[in-house]
Amino acid sequence: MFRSFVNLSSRVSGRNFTFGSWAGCAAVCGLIFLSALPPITKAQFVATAKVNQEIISPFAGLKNFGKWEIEIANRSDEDVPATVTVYSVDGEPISQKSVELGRNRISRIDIHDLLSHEASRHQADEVGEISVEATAKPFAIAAQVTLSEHHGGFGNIDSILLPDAMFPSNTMDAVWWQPQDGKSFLIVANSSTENLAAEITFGSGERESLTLGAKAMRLIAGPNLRPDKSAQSVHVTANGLPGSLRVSGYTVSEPNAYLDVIRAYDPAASSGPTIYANGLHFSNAQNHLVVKNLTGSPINVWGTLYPLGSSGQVGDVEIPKEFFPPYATAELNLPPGNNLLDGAALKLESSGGAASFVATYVSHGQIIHMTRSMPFKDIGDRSNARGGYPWRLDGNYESHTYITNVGKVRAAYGAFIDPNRGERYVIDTLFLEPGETSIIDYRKLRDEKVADRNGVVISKTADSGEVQWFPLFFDGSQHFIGRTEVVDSSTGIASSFSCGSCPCNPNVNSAYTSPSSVTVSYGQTAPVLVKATMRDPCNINSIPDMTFIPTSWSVPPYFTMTAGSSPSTLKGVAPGSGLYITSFTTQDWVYNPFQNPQCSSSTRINTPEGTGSVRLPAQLLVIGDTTTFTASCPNTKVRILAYQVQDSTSTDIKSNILTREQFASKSANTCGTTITTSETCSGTPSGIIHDTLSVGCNSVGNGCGFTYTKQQWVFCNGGTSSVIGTVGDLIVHDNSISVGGSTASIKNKVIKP
Amino acid sequence: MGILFRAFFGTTLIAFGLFQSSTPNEGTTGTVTGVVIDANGTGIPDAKVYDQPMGSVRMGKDHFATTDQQGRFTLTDVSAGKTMIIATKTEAGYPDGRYAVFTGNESSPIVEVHSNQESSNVVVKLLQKGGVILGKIVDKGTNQRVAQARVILARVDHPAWSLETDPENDGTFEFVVPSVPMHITVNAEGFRTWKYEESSLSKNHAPLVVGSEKKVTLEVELERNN
Repeated sequence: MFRSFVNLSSRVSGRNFTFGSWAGCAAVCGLIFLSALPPITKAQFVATAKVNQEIISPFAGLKNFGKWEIEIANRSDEDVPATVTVYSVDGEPISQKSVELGRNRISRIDIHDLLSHEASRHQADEVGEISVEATAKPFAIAAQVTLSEHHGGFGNIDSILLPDAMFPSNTMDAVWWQPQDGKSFLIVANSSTENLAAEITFGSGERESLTLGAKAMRLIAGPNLRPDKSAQSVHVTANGLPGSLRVSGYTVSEPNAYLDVIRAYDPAASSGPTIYANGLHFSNAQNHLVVKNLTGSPINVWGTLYPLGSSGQVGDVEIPKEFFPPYATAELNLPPGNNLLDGAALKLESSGGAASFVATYVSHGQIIHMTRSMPFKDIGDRSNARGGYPWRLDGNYESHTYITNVGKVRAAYGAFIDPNRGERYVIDTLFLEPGETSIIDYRKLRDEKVADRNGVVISKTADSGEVQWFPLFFDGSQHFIGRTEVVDSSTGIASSFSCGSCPCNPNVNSAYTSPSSVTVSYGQTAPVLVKATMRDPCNINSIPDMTFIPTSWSVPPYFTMTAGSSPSTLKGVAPGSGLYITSFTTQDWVYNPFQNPQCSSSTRINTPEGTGSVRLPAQLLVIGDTTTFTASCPNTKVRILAYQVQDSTSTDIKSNILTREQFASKSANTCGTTITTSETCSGTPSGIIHDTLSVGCNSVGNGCGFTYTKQQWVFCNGGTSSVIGTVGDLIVHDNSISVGGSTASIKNKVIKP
Repeated sequence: MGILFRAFFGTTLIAFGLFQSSTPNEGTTGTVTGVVIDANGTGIPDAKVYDQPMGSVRMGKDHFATTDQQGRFTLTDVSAGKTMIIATKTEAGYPDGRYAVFTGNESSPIVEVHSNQESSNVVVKLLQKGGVILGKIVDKGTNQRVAQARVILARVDHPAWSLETDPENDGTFEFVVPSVPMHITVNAEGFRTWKYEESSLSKNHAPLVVGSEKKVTLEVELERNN
């Protein structure tokens, strides 16, 4: 079902992804950590507790942008009251509004509306940070600011609101590509309530020192950057508590409608030499992959592109190794723009250790001058590989969610979609091969009325919503990355959402079979599903039951069961009843923000089971009784009986079982013809026996014939054959044929053993 | 087979494509191989090939072979002696030539089968394509379906060549018949005997003739006995 909207590319054979610890995501994932701990303490913490949390973006609005918008996602199943505060560039709160965030809903707010009361006092260029505060379950709230209509025209930049605890240090690094005629602007902000001293070092070598007051923000204009160099970088350090330094910015080239956000990463959050991005765009565009060596030693950096598409259709594309001197910034050579690479995933590797490099990938359309930049992620050693993103289809918007298996093994994910109107839509267990990407196309899902496993379709009136996805049946080896891209080509807006969620994967609460008991006739089949009730370690939301695909079953000799696909198929092979059991191991995760790592796990063995019963063929139903004459001897009568094999409940057995006939005695045949019977076991296609009765061609005539007494049909079941129908005596003459004492039709008669 | 005998075999006999063995007669059986063709000489795939021994009779389960994509067949376990080899493909509109009532002008080959030997290169021609009779039996008074009935087809040119069977449980029947005049009679307990020639369906009380590859639908209205 899902293949209809999910494009898949399978990739990566025998490649060894290296998994370090969490990295790269620091500035691109909207994970909500417990930045404001009171009133919860370590001793008090339980996953069900609501906690006070604050998330912050370094900017709420910039004067060159006409449209300022904040999207706030409540991923929990409870309504959440929240407070949105907009600060001036000097850190003074200039607007504070209470908002009610509906459960499993996206709230989209025009930031100008928040400022309406203050508009007379504060000009647009005086607006600084924006924060959202709420008391809710951990990770329930995520938000992102989008500024668009640059000088009334194209493009957008985004900023995810993050908690301070997301950042382990006060050092940020960023790289970006700048068009020759472009300008870049850096945003440096202080999210704390203490003064912050920041040191800024650009790739050009220029330095600048700043002192930022509490909640203050500064926009540093382009003259500080070298316009003659396309690959740009910046390194910013600050004193104060980790997470109080926020760095962002943008690059713009108005003639080309080029507008790209500058994403900064905290290198201290990285613990591995590999980072990933997915949903890349290539065709009809200029594409740039910029890398910076963050270390004082030379490194090599190389990459691999995993194209979308069917397995083997398009080969992996290697990005050649590039040498980077200490602290050098440069572009890597990319393959030519090619639509076969659209949607591809990218892995970048460094010969250095963790935090040895940062990267950015940007694609600028040559026809539609849309700038798309893709965030990089490090899957780290955390169990987290979950996401919760908004999507929208209103106006000219299109939304696609890209989910890539960046692990080394085949792995499954599940998801649920909560549209703003209508029922929840569930994407059940969907497997991806290593390197494979699936795409959730929301418009296609909605407009083509693609039903989910329960027949639910996304309401045609739904035009926005959120999606939450997560690995399934996690045993430690599965790793995914994901993001949603929201695009409005008419205004050049391309926003990327890659907010995380609870850092621990969902647990299997209990596994069960559906149905829990099955009764089939011999040779017949029945589907059996293995389902699991799921539990979120952070208790943000209720997760629908998901389907597990067993790799093996333990079954009694009465039936067989297929494995490796869903549903499994139970097939009756012998009479009897017994348990069907499968077993699989998962990790039970416990979330505790005061631990490092925050997710601890224990092994859980799941053994869902059910009862299967097999009924044997037990009777015959006469479904046809025809009398006629053969072509070879048209004066000799032929009677053809058709029997349907049934079980003891009068249910037809449609499988090709083995049967034979037998008789108590056989008289001489006065017609003199040789009689051949079906007294050895042979197949009975569709469970139907056609029994032809005739004396055959002869020259005797005049009522010649024979009598075979007590015809019985026998089910051949190895050494335990059983009679399934005693028809009676067959009195067969050339001019009349009696079956069980009747020369008339016996159709619809049930013949018992 | 499926179309022709839906009335009494159900629909499940279509092309199961497996050779069904009967009581082995090792030493008294041989093998027949050949090809099934249509009137144009084209090999016909998925046709069933039956044997009808002239001096013996095969009781019990059906015994047949199914042709491959070129129309070739291999029919094993055929009783030694003279045997008529008959091909059918009712689902494609060819009448079932195993039964006299459906035979046409074509004649099926009679092969001499020798024990433990193969009779090869037997060419079996399908009958000329026939027409289809679709019937529905109803109580004229209530318009309710009547399933407890017997439908009798008989050739006008050979009245003894007949076939008598039951309708489906919903009172319908279906036959693929050659384009020759046929008597159709329906008997049901409690009703007067219905004959096609005597019904309003017949023009000038003529028997039914269905053209090749044509289809005729009959609504058999039974009148209750007084």
